[in-house]
Amino acid sequence: MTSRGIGAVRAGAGFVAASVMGFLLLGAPVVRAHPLGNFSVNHSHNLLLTPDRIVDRAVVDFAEIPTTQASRTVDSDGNGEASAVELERFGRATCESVRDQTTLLVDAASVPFSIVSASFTYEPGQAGLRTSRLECDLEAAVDLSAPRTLSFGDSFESDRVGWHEINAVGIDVDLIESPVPQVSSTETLRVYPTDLLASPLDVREVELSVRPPTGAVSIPAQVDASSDSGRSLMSGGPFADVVDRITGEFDGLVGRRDLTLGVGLLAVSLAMILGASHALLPGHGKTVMAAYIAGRQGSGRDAIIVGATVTATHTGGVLLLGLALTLSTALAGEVVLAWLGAASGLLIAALGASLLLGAVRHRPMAHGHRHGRGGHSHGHGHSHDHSHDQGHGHDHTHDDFGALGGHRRLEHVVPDSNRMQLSAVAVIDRVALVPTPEVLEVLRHVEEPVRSTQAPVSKRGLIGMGIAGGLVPSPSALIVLLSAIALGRTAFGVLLVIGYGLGMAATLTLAGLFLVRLRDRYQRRHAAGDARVGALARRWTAVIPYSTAALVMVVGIGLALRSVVSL
Amino acid sequence: MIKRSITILALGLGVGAALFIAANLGATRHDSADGPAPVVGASGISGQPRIPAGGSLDDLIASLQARLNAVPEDYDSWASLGLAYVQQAKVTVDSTYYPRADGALARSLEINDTDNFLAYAGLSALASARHEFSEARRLADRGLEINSFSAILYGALSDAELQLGNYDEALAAVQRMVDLSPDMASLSRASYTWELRGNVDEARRLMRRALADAPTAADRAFALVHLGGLSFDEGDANAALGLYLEALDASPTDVSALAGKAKSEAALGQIETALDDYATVVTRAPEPGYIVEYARLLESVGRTDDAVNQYSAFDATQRLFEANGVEADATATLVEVDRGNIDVALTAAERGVANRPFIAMHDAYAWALHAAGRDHDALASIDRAMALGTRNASFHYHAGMISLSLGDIDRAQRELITALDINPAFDPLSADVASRTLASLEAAP
Repeated sequence: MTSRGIGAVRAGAGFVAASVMGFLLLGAPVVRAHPLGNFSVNHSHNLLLTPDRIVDRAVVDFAEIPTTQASRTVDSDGNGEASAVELERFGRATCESVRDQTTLLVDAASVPFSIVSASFTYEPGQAGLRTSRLECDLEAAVDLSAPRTLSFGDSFESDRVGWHEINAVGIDVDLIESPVPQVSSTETLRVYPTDLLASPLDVREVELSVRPPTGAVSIPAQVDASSDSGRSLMSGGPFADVVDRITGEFDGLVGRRDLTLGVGLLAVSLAMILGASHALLPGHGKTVMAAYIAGRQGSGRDAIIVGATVTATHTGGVLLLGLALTLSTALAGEVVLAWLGAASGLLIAALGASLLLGAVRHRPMAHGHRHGRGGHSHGHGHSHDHSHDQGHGHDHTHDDFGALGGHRRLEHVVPDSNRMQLSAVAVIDRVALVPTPEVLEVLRHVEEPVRSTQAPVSKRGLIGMGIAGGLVPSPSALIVLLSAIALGRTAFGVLLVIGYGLGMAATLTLAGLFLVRLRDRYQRRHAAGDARVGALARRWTAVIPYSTAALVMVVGIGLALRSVVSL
Repeated sequence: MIKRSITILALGLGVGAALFIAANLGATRHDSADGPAPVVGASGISGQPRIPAGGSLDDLIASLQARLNAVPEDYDSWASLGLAYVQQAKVTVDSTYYPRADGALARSLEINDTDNFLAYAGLSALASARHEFSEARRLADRGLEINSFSAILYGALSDAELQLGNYDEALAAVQRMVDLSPDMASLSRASYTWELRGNVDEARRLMRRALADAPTAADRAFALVHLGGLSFDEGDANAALGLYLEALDASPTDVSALAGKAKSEAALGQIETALDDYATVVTRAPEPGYIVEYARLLESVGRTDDAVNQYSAFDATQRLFEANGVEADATATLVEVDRGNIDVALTAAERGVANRPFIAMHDAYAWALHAAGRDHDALASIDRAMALGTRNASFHYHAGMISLSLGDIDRAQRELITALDINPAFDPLSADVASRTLASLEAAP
């Protein structure tokens, strides 16, 4: 970690810096250097896969020094000139070396390449020197009309540093999740990234799975040649772009040398915005959780409970992990994050399971209908008994709501609404998909009593959801903290992480409250309405509790699996 | 996101520490006359270097790049990256890293030009690497005005002072550096100042201390290579070979260790192995010093064509140095003398001495003057080269040949005997010339 030695700021530093810049300008080279270094040997393999053969356009770009070192070998008669014949001979010989050091395994069996064509040319380089370019077309007869596993590797001049890329494209052959791009990002070693922060690509071998085409196009993978692969995970939409831009601004702010109050406040508010937008991004089970808050009892207070839990868990988690990672070099952050992700997923899955269990126990179609209240009283002792009972009681006060469908139908609806209280997504789905007036009306009346008899058990469920949501420290919050620590601003970092957590909580709470509102509005709008409930809708509402509970569970398992896979 | 955060993590843990490694990796050891390439010791930034697991210069650069992608305004990281690029240029002998270092350091100062001492350390190291030592000293002083407790800046200052021929000032700077941060970067410099003064035992003792403290394999290899160099220059090629092999054991891809191994093998008569190793060395890192060593070994066994090929590679490195703003060093002068390009050699040496009055440059200038027939000037110059009492066989050989031209047989004999006494295999070509000349002198009445 760099600690900053703060010395006296002397007058005239600006002047010196200016003259330093002058020096730098004077010292800058006039001739453009080989971007990958004067002694690099750069490799590009471009594989074309067809049902009966693999063609490899192998390109090797030799920078100035290796070109010079080889020039005597090229100029075999030693007359100082490389004749066309000498170039051809050298190109052929070098392509043979390339071929000999290029391996192709098809289903673990080695397949030889033969040389179709070879060419070696000189090109002008830096300081009046030359670079050289070797192009070899290699071909191997391979039967790709059946699923195969290909393994391709290049060990030509592996001692030399340089850019190594492999590209692969299929014609009438599907590449299954190919890890390499289809087309060279350097125009086969003609255009290299000149960024000060770019590191050369180093792909020397690749495993490809191929099969005969099922669709028209093989599946390409976009390989980001820049080192910023982390960001690309998030990109893909205008929203992500905006978040990206905010992140960039924010990182810049944290890295700033002069930390004024204004900058500090700006950074904290940006941290909150980042936290808020992070909570909006998919894939964290947060949407499920927000749905849970809103659907469960529909109370704003519950939304706040979850929000507070998320903030507390997330902030604590980031601080602990940040501290642990700073103190211990043995700890691999990625692994910890993966485990936490798995734990969070399992927690969500468990909640989903308990929802499902609850829904099954209260199966209204099977029992509720037949046994009426008695059937429901069986549920006593179950975690949702109180709310259930209360809801049921209330429902019966509306038995006369038969103007819209009579007793039978109301009976039918009532258990559903009870189940809805058990099921997270049920309400949302219902509001969104089947806003039947009966349901909404029932809900409206159910709401108050349910909340008043909130059981401790269900609060536990809320807190569990909150923990699940906050358990996995968001990498960006972790970056913020570690950047701040690296810059010697630990306290500021902690402040930012708290801001980040608050932002996350705000999004989740607002999402919950918004859903509550939305539902209320539907209820009001449709309370006096005269929509009818069809049999289909009835069946639909009956199925929802199971499907939504199962959905929560599946999402949880999915999240857990995703984390475990990355371990 | 996760990947990026992990890189940042690695960085947060390791910047200071990894810079420390970088600092030490850079000092590839040429022949002792030319001194180690200026070491950019950065451990002094924190004073408490922490060592990242398996930290290498490449890792450091990658993590700094990742960090700067995340925090583009972090001028400290830009300065560190600039320093790392200077190191990379030295380690890999790829001078295209110098303009990149330029860019990174300029960026750092663009963000903060008030108290950015680390950027001045980087600029000083870059100037030294380009053999612009007055500028390097000025920049180091500039940085020390901002922060007078920065070991890295004292390191940069001592490198510049040394090459400017201000040996006392260089020693004072090294002493301050050791006081601030007694680590490999400072101890190896301290060792070198004793080596220059002919106190090989003290040089060895300090380097052993650095070895004992070596936190990583790369550091061990670095210290072992220097110890190997000390042994070789003392004529103990066997001990040197052992040390170089030990270094390769610690860090199998270390080019300086392999070059040392090749040099020792050549001295021990294992020519074929030596040639193989040199071939690998100049493939991996075509450093002019290694190329010339290889070429001279090829010449000594009569493979003139192959030697010519290596010399053209040497020329290419010099042209690229020039294109990337690097001033030629003593090796270039010596090569031109041997090829008979006396005028070119003299011009280069005059520029070199004006720019860099270091003992190795005086020695090269003396050799060029001798070749031009100006032996009185040559004698004055070689005496300046030997003023510190450096035990350097090559210097003594040059002094002997110059004295012979001046008719000073006594001194000629004395110098040649000393040269061969220090190291009977100091050079594949010149050692032979020295013994034959000495034999003919002794045979003469």
